[in-house]
Amino acid sequence: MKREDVDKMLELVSDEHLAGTLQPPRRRPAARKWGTLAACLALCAGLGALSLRLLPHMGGASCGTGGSEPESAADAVFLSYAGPVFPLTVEEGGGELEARRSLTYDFSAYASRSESYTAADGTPKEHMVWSNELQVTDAYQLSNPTDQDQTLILLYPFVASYISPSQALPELSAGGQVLESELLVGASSHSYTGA
Amino acid sequence: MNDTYLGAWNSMPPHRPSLLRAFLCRLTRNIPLNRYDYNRAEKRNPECLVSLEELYNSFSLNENPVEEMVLEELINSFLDGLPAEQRDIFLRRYWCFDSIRQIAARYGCSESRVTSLLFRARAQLREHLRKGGVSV
Repeated sequence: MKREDVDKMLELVSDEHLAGTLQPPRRRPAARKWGTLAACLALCAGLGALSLRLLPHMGGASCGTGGSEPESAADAVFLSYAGPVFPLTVEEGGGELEARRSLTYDFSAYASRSESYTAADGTPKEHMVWSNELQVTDAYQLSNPTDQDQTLILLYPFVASYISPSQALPELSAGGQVLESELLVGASSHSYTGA
Repeated sequence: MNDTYLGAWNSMPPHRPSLLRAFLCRLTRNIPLNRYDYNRAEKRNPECLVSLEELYNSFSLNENPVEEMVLEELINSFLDGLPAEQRDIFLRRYWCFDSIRQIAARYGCSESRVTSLLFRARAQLREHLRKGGVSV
């Protein structure tokens, strides 16, 4: 065996084996927990009037496996996403309305977990799977600067697949209460037709 | 870091890595390795050279080449057989080029334990390669 073969051998280490090794070292969970709680409290205190929560899937349900097993590699989705986060809009009128928006991305759901599978030779194995769901909180504080009451119909546009729209359905709430909403389907965002 | 992202920019596409973290780390790892000769010529002693020399010295290297497929099968089956902690420590040392001190801090154990685990892992790798028909 040559010296170059030792170098080559290290280059050939599978992603599956590197997955756990390349994880950042674990930090103190208590500090992170309190930090997250403080951030949430700050958000709730600052933007209590109207908040919208949505859970777009940034990629597939599982992503980034080792790639050596066909079934896991076929399921892997790389850097695809559910679409942009559109702003809240008003169906008509609303010209007198003032709005303040705060967009928060929460990456804490991004965590690895171990999944077992059966290799081609029948032996049970485990590999690391990353859930890359991202929670987005799109909060608005709407205020009416006029002396007159206003009744508004608010629209919250989002992009989702027709096959499984519920996965990316935004959860709408105001003052902590879930709002009643109606799903309106618009035109496809794809530029091609006739497919 | 800039070299890594420039490398990623240049290689995607055509590459579409299934695990971005590992892909970026491979790019990062190759940067010091590409400077291996430069570093050695300058008699510098970065941790990657220390780490690699440690591994080279545990084998009786010769001029018999080994096929890439054989190497891939042997290294990954060797890693499959290691306990998770020992495998991670082995890869942190010889793949990521971490120092013994860094590894000990990362895993919350003593430097002597890390050294001992690495020594045993190298011996096991040598034996594994021999059983696989590789002359080391």
